[in-house]
Amino acid sequence: MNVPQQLVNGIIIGHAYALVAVGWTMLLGAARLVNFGHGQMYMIGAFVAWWFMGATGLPYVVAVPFAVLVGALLGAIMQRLFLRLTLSQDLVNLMIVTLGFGQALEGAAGLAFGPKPQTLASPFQAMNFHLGPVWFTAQDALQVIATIAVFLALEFALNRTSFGTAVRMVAEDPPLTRLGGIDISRVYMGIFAFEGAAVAFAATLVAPRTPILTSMGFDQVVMTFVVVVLGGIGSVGGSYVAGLAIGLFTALFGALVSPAYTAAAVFALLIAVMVLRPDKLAASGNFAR
Amino acid sequence: MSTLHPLIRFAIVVALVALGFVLPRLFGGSQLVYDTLVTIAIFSAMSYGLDVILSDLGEISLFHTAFFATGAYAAAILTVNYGFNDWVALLGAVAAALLLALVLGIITLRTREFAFSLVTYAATVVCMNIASNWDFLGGSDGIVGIPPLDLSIGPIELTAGQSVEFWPYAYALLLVTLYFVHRFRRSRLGQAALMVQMNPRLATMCGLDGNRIRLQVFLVSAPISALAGWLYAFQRSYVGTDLFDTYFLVLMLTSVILAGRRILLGPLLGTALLLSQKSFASLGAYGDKLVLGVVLVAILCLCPRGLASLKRKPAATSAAAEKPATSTSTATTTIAKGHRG
Amino acid sequence: MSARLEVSNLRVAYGASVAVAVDELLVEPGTLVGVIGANGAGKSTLINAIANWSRAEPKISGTIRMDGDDISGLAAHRLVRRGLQLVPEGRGVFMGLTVEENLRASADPDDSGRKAYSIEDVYALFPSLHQRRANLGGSLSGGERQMLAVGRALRMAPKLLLLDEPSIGLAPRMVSILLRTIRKLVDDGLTVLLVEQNVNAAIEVTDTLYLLEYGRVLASGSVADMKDDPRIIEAYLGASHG
Repeated sequence: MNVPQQLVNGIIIGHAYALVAVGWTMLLGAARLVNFGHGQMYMIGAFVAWWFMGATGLPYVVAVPFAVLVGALLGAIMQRLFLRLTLSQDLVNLMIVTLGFGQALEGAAGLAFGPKPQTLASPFQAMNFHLGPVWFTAQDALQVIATIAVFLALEFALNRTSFGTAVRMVAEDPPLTRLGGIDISRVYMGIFAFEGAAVAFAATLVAPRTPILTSMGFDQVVMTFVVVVLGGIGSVGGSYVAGLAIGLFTALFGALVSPAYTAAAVFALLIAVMVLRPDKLAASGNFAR
Repeated sequence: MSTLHPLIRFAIVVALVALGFVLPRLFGGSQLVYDTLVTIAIFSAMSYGLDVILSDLGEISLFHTAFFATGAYAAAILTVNYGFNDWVALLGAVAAALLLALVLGIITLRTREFAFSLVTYAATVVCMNIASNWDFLGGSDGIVGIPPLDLSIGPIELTAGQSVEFWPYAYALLLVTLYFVHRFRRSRLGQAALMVQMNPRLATMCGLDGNRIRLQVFLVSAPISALAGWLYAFQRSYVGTDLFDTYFLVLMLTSVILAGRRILLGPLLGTALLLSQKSFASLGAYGDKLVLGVVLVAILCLCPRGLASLKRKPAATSAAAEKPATSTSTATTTIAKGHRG
Repeated sequence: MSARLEVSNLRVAYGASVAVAVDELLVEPGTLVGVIGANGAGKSTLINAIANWSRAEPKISGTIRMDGDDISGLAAHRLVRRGLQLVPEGRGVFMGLTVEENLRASADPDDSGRKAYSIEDVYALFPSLHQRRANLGGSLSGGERQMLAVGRALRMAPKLLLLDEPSIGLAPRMVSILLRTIRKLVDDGLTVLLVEQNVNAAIEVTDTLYLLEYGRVLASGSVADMKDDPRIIEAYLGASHG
């Protein structure tokens, strides 16, 4: 087994997990909302980019910001629909309503884009780099760099901007935030829009690797859940580290033991953590520190 | 209903049961009608497993699709791989479900709400992953060639091939499930579960062990969904990983939430509504998914306690406008020197 | 800088039970009015309802006027911008933010003509906060947290400051310092409505008192008049035994 290659694979996969998870972790940490529609939003991000390229003939680099915008819009729609549930912190109903939202998105996508697998064609997917025993594509490199950039930008935004402070306030104590004169539904709007934009961005970067299907929502993001919980809910830095760790675990477990059962292994690990350390599920309200 | 004489109540129930049995014929008796009603019966029976957890324990389990799948897979493996008869398959389905429920119940013993739902979801993913890859369970191809239902005992022939023949069995399953849930809600365990849900600390003061009751309710709910899966295997004659699809999960959740909690016929009506749309007013596979998703979102955003809650308006609005009770000791007074109130 | 508060026909209900029923409550500009009463008398419910703020979701009806303008039903964050500030009971600061961040993290008041307390002004008022300015809210002592909570409120240039039991959990010396600081703010022109369980401390700094029982006003008047009222003495005894 080519260990360096597996490590590189693990790093690439890990960054992908982290990027896909970043919006989810923000939403969960700040609004206590488990977005079961996250996978379908990812799928829509990929398909919107694909459709845009086909419909306008514009290149991939223009399709990406377009998909991000559509994603942000989708997030905004979610906020308008679920604001009442979010404000009343009806956590279980919020979970289920996002399940329904995801189903609706899957149905809509099927109607709009059809059942056939498509390819999100990125020019970077074809460019290969060889460094000694390892190789990777330009798309891989792009995705890793983009992930690091997003995480750094998020750390900065959360800790050094006033909106970031408002987000941290809402994560800790929504009613008290109101007393600071802040309209918390606006803060929620920003958080929801970020989730939509971030997952769409992740989709445009990661999806070129494999064919895309309107039914792929679940498979592509099931790891997100693990990343976020293991990384610590609301911890931006934590989900980066957890993403990387799980990426490496996936690559190595897949190469050494069995590629098929990786999901089971990871989730069994997750169950163990959730049961033995239930405090992991309590939002620390302590973003990013 | 509870004010009527028991004999009259019994007569009404018998009449309704008889009516339900001939329902497919009343709707035209076509293959589609029979198929739809059989599916409604099976899927609503599956939903009752979730309903017990939701209404009586107050939690959302995302594992009941796995119980459903367990029943189906048990039926398939025992009849196809080992050649056992269908009654044995039934016992096997129940046993497998109980075993899984025991394991999962113990794991989730101390988790509540949010955490409980997430752990059950994770467990479903694990089961799904294992089922797709383990050859014993058919892997990603599943298990085909399940023989037609044959529950014959001795000289009494009880077989079912087509939907028309299947209907009595599906209907019987539904009736058994309804009766079981009804008795459960009136049993000591059912009452205890409700008490634990409403006020866990007070329930402990009454000597109830919250954790043990949770486990028992979980164990009770598992075979309900598993039996539905068992029958479903024979109807489809094939089991595969599509049984774990979120579609079943969303369908179950919507039908259970639609009517409201603790309404005996709630899940049945919910399932009937949703599956009738799919059969008789289908908008295609994707269109139906969209409809299902929209219905679930709409219910939770507009009336999260179910449609039944629309009947009762909250009493708070009238209370807030109340004038305070007039009694001299509570009247507003301003004290000036020398005066006493 | 000061505001006049008029509350009429205020009813606050949780579900079917009415927690507060106050026909009239008046706070003259530049005065410190105290609301006292035994535990569970509805003092917190009353003051939270005036600010239209709660951690639960009560039904509130009635008319609230600030300087003659009807502010009933306005969202809490709007009221804050208009100059009505509430320092709630218990958690009034963000544990996960530093002292400095807590003080910075407020929106700008609507009317910049009001006297704004800059961060330096707050530190001048509460010197120990200046020392701990890089510390997280969660690491402060109870007294410091209360000071920070009041400091946060002042940052929004309030005309009317509502304080819900600021003395809870504080050592007597701390209570004295805090309430005297509040009195100084009133003397400088702020209007304050103070809910206090510590009747002795309240009597020392307030101008007018309202005595609440079962959500209704039992008695009200100037402190001089109320001091000798047997019902206040009973409330005082109740408070010291409760």
